[in-house]
Amino acid sequence: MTLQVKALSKAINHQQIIEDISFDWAPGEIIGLVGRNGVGKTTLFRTLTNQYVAEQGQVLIDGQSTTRHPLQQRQLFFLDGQYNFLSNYRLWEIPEFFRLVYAQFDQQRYQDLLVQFELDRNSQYRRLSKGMRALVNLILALTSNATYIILDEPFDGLDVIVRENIATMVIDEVADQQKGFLISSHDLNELDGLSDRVLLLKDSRLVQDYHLEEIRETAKKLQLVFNDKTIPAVLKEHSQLIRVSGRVLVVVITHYTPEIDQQLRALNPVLLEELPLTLEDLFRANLAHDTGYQLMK
Amino acid sequence: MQVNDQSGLPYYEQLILHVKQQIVQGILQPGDRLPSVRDMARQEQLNPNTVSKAYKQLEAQQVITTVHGKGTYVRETAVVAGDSAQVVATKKQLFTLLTELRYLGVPLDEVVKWIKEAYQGVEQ
Repeated sequence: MTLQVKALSKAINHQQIIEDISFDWAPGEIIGLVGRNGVGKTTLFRTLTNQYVAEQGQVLIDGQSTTRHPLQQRQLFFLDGQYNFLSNYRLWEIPEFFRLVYAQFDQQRYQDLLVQFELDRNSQYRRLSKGMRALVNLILALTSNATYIILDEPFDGLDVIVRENIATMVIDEVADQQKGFLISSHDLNELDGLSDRVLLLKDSRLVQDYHLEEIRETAKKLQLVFNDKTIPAVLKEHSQLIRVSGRVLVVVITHYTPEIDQQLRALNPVLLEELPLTLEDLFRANLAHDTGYQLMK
Repeated sequence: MQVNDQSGLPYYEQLILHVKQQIVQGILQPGDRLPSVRDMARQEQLNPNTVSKAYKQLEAQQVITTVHGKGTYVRETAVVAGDSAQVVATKKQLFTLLTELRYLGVPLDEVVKWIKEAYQGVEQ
């Protein structure tokens, strides 16, 4: 069982929004999707689910194209946060719509989860607080019983308790290896421990597919201070600069080897200290070109 | 969260160390049951695959054992021979660290004191 995205492209008004996107996604996997604002994350989701017609490429579920075999789309869930029809409906009314598409919609579990989170079944969707709405969106995703679940910014603007509830529900759901999640988020810390892999979208394309645990095995983040103010060649060659303040350099070295270690120590740094590497560092290392080496002369 | 101890190690390695630490401190004892992969993942807010990887390695290192359908338990601490592959590899790592400490000018007494502290379970 797998979902394959193959060379997916979408242009809107002659402007290429996403281009040549390919990745595989299996049940039991949590994939994070990160990228700057406006880079096309939501467009990717809408194209994946055929709300937008792709110019090129296809989505295959168990080897079958979702455009040629529309029933396969039942295995894929995405609730558009910006454009959905739920506003005026009460919570108890909403499942009726989802049952039309998701034949295996779990009505009982939907009701149980509403009770568990003290959500009033008679509330109108639009009157819910942000946190309640986030919970309802996730509850619908889980009770749809779709195998592949897309969550667009599920942690955005939520307090710590709701965030933890949502993460816990995702963890719980994925533990049986029956369902997979694709989660976009600006909260990189939230994705960090949660994701198996993180896809980085940049200039309309997927530029990285990070397996964070593997990266942590070989990568190092270092804080360095050198006596003179030039950047050593070994750093220019092997590292990405995260931050400079005065003499203090913070760099990420993706493949830290004993050779690099020796070369750095041979330069007699005033300070050489290892710092914990986060997803945010990788994000900065790849996207923040404006903090390049030219900052220091 | 206990895992994410700022060490920069992969989370599964942090979890392995965390379990071993609890064993040497006596918080976990032989025969004690560990949370299931799912419960540990929930508790630590970690990906279940990460927890599963840690459990598999702990099992391979004979620290824990899984009884099918019952759960995962802490094993009796085996007395490992001083020349086992695991001890040899760990010793090598220790020597690398000791070289660095010497280079940094940390005196022997100080290092010996740390080692004693670690063995007596004194928090840093």
